[in-house]
Amino acid sequence: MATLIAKCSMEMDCPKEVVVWNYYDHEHVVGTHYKYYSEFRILAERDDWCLVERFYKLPIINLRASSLGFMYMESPHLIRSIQHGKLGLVLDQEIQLDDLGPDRCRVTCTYRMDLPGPKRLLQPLFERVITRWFHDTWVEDAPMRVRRWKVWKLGFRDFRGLDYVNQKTAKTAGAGEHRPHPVRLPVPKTPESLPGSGYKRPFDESVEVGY
Amino acid sequence: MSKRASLAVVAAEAQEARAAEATPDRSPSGFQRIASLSELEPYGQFSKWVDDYDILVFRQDGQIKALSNICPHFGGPVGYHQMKEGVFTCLWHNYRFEASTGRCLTNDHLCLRSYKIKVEDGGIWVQLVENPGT
Repeated sequence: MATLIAKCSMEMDCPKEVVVWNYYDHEHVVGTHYKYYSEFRILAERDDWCLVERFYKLPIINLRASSLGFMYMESPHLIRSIQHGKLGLVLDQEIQLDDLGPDRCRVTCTYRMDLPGPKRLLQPLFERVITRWFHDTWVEDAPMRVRRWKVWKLGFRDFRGLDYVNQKTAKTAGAGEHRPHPVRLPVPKTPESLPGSGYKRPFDESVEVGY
Repeated sequence: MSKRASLAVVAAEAQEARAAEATPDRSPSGFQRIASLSELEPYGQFSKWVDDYDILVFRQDGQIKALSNICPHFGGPVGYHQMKEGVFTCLWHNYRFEASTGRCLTNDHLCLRSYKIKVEDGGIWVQLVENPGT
């Protein structure tokens, strides 16, 4: 039995609380990551833990897969996610969050998987798949987190928006600039979605105009 | 305030005043030029941040219109995907909005603000603030 390990780390222009919000905002996976995830179901969720089922396509080996995942916060700086694949494999992921100032943080993900077979053959492929996955989803999440932090500082309120935009008034100078982003879990869900019914990708392809 | 700080404030104010004088992009009626018409190509839409307002400009049935590009759900970009059959789908959570009205088709309680717009001198002008007194 070989224990495969991959570690990826990147810095982000937002506080770590925004990253936590992003990880617990399950509904975004079939939106922001619509090219990788086809379906997502929240089976149970309370406070900082959740049990979810995901259907996705792995890069490089191009394998369609699904897994049951349990996620919780070990501490304000550490999220742990254990994913049990349908083939019996378990992926253990630790997400370490470190503050690098008021508007910046570092995200370090460590992935571990036990697999039967010789490590010297499996480790390079494991690292390639995980690194690509981390990179691709990071590229999609990064502008989301930065934008979320930007609108939050402008005074954004969930399910409401920006008051000065809606009321067609001028923005009050300095409003919201020092407003910390809370870690309020679970992240509110779309009221129209029935619990456990899941979320599906609405389209396979789109013309992306961009942010 | 220290002398150095007050000098910096004065210099910043003077710079702002010069910038305002030099910018022909604001009309007395409160419309602001935000783009040239050519920016609508090739997608028939674009979005742009202007003074803390994120505006989605698009062409529909031969008319140019503008909506807020900030999804009132969690703040996502409404115009990330090209409009399809008169509907915008927000990138983040697939909230759908009717382009002609800004009405949200996913959640009845949400709506996008429409901006007043005019096309003049090859440019697209938008009124960011309609209620300056409030």
